[in-house]
Amino acid sequence: MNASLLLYQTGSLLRVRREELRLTLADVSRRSGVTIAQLSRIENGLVDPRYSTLVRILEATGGSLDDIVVEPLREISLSDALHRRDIGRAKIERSGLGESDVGARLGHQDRQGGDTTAERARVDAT
Amino acid sequence: MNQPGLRELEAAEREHDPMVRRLWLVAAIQAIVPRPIFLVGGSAVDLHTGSYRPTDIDIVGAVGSADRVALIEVGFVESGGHHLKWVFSDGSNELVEFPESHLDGTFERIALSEDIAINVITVESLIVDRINQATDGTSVTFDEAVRLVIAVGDRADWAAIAADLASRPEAIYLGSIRWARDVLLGAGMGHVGEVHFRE
Repeated sequence: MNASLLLYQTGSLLRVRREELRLTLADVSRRSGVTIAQLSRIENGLVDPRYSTLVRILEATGGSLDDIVVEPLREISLSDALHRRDIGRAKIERSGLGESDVGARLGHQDRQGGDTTAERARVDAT
Repeated sequence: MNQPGLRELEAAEREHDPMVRRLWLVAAIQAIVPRPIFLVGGSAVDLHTGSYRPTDIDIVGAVGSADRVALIEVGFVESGGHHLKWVFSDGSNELVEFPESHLDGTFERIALSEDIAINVITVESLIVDRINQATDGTSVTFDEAVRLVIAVGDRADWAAIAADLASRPEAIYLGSIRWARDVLLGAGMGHVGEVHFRE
C-alpha cells in the first residue's frame, strides 16, 4: 500500500478516536506531551510519527495499537464502477426521475453565498 | 514523459466518457500532489447515479499553494471561485476545486489501470453527506439525496450509515435521522428506515 495513504488512514483513526472521546487536540497534547501542531500533522497524515510518539498519543486516549489497525481497502475496477453507474442510472430512470437539475443546484449554491461564476460559464459553454 | 501526472493527463485526453475523463484528471492530480487526495461531491455521486451532471470535480486533501503551482506547471489554469481548470484539445474543460483538507468519512479505491488507482468517498459516506445537506430543508438537496438513495439503496451498508450519523454531534444527528427517514420514504425505501433509524 502507498505509504502516504497508510499514514493518512492511521491519522484518521487517531482523530476519530479523539473525537469520539470528545477530546480536543489541546487535551491530548497536555496528556501526551506531544505538541498540538505535531498532533494535527499526525492526524492529517502529513508526517511519519515515531513508534514511541504513537504509543504516547494512544496512552493519552486510553487506547492501544489495536485501535489504529488499518482495515484492508475496498478496491473495484473501472469496469465494475461503470457497471454500477449504469445500474444506478437505470433505477433512477425507472423511478421516473430525470437527470439532476443543474440550474436548480447552481441557484441553490448562489443562495447559500457560493461563487458559481466559473461553473455557470462551463455549463453555458456546454 | 517522466513528469508526474502526464501519463494520466494523456489518458484523460484519449477518453470520451466524461466521467472516466474526470477520474483520470483526479489520477493526474494525485500523481502531482504528494499526499492522499479523495474524490467527493457531485462527481462522486455521478459515479453511482450516472445522471448528476457535475459542474466541477471536488477533491479533498491537504493541497497547498505549492501543489497548485505544480498543477499550473503541467497545464491547469486558475479559473475564479478557487477553481482550477483543465482544457482538453477538443475545447471542453473540467473545473477542479479543493474544498476541504481532509475527508469526512470513509473511502474506497477505483483501479483505472493495473498500477493506477484513485481514492473515492464511499457511497455510505456520500449518503451521510447528502442527508446532512438535505437538512437545509430545500427541495433541491432533498431531491438529490432521494436520487442517490434510489440508485444505491439496495447495496449500501445502512447499518454503517446509521452508525455514522449517530456518531455526529447530537443536533445534527437527530436532524439527520429525521431527514434520513424522509429521504428513504421519498425513495420508496421506508422499510430500511424502520430497521436502521430509530430515535
